[in-house]
Amino acid sequence: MGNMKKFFILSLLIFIIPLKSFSLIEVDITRGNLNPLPLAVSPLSIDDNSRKNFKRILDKENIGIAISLIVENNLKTTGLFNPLNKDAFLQAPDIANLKPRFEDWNLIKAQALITGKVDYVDEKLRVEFRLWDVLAAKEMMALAFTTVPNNWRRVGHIISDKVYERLTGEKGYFDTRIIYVAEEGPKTKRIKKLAIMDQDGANNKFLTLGNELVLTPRFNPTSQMVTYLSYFRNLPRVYLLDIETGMQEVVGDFPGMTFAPRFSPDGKKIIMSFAKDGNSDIYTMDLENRIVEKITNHPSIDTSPSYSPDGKFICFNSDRSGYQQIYVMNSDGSKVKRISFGNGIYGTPVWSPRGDLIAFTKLHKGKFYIGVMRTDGSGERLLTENFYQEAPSWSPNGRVLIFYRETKTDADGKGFSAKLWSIDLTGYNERKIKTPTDGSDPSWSSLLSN
Amino acid sequence: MPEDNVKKVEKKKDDTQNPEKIDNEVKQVSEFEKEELFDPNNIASLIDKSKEEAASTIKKTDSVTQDKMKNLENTGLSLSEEDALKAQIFGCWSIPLGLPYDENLLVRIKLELKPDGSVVKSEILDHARMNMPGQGFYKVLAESALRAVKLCQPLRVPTTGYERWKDLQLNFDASEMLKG
Repeated sequence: MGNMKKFFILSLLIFIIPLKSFSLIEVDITRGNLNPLPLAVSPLSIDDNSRKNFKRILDKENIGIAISLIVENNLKTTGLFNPLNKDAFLQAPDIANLKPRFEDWNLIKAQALITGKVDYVDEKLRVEFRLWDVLAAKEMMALAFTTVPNNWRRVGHIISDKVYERLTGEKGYFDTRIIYVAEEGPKTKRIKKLAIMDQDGANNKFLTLGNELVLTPRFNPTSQMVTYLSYFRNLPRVYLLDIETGMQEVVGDFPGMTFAPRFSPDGKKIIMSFAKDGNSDIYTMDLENRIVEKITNHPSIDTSPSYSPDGKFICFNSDRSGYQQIYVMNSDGSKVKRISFGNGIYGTPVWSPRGDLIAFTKLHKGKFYIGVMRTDGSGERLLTENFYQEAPSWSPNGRVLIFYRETKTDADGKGFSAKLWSIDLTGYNERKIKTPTDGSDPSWSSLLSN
Repeated sequence: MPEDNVKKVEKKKDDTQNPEKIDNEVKQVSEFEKEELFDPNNIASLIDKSKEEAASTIKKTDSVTQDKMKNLENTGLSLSEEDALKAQIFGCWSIPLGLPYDENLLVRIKLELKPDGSVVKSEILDHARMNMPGQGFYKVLAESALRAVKLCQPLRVPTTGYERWKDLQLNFDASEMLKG
């Protein structure tokens, strides 16, 4: 009995003591400001000899400043960071990289600081950079890269990715490229070429001559391969293009209307819709053995298929309910389920690389919207509204969408344009992407380096 | 479009979080509180009223415990005091917008404060989560919360009753804001 009592007391103590000793005042902080984080990007320091060598090779007056500007621009476009004006910086770049005077950076309200150094070593570019937490007065990250001098822009993008990941907790999307359809000429007689550029609009290159119509280029999520649709003797033809080598390959000719070929997440198949016997269904093609498999079998029009990142599901459009809506099914075509139920019609669903959302275009009362919903159709959010816009494509981290927007033609048939735009998931950070010509149908690559 | 791959040649230094140091701080605080507020033996005696020999101990410790109990009963800040503190921290906390909004986004920070509201010590209570694989977002959120505390200090604390609030816990929860 005595033992029982002791046991009882001990048990009580176990529960009572922690309760009392942790009776702290607790205050719940459930709100904060959504202002971009103030951050200072100090120019990367460079010695005189290295500066002269890079000027000779790259024709850049100061490569350290040029790289830091790329980092600054990338971080600014995210809407998550506010790079501070360099005129306010009190500490010289070389000293700041060795040991920042945190009180100086604190004074200009910087919460994070990026410093670095560029060297010319054995005809290569060596860049080191550090990320500092100004308020905690500590180094958060330090890395160094060596590469050929011509890769200097990529170094800027890689630094941006590393900083972004360290400060946001998710991967960046700066060391990536965008393939799109470059357009020129009047609306009724457009010349369309495949074009590729860095995600910030630099290094634009045309990949086709514009003799034939090209449509819907899509990146392979695992490599730098692209699939797209072109017309050969008025027949739709699906192509594969290796961006690295420039090699092009015909995957196949398909009858009737063929739409939007897209890779599976492992890059081994393409999925598309085409019309056979007057009915449009979804098909896959194994790129190794070229076997075509029918996935949907319904008298309605099924188009725009897109795989979930794990390859287990497919989202697509169908008008089987009377109006075009978004559906999700297993990758073998079973268990088809409608997920969009809002007013209007829905199209171009694209599964986020993060797996949590599906982006879409919506037409309602004459306006076009780009929006996102969860994969079960709940939580629909419209991010942007315009006269005409469509074809969203995800950044590799599933945070930003790129799409294209057309302007209205005036009474004289003039004023038409098509431009690429991006918007992030908050819906506030909308930006026009600079391209040398008009552009449509953009597709975002995966990260070039990991 | 051949491009030479950029080679990551060296990782100069990992992030400089120092879990050992903070763990020690947790221990110190816990021990301090345990010692000052409760003596397990005395409380055992307090509960076990049938023990004759413990009666004196009960009397001895009773007054101390009662005082503490009084304090514990009055620990909460008044609504206006709490609102003032919250409003101050809301302005200092830059919520990292890149966080996934469907994750558990609660960071609990325990503070030891000076009478003027400046921070003597701050510790993340779920510190182990900081360095867990796949919890990068938690680390980012925790760092943002620590930055907010540093940026805000001295905190807007009541002018009286220092003993009440010298230890304070802030629960930073970003989920509401990120869900929009």
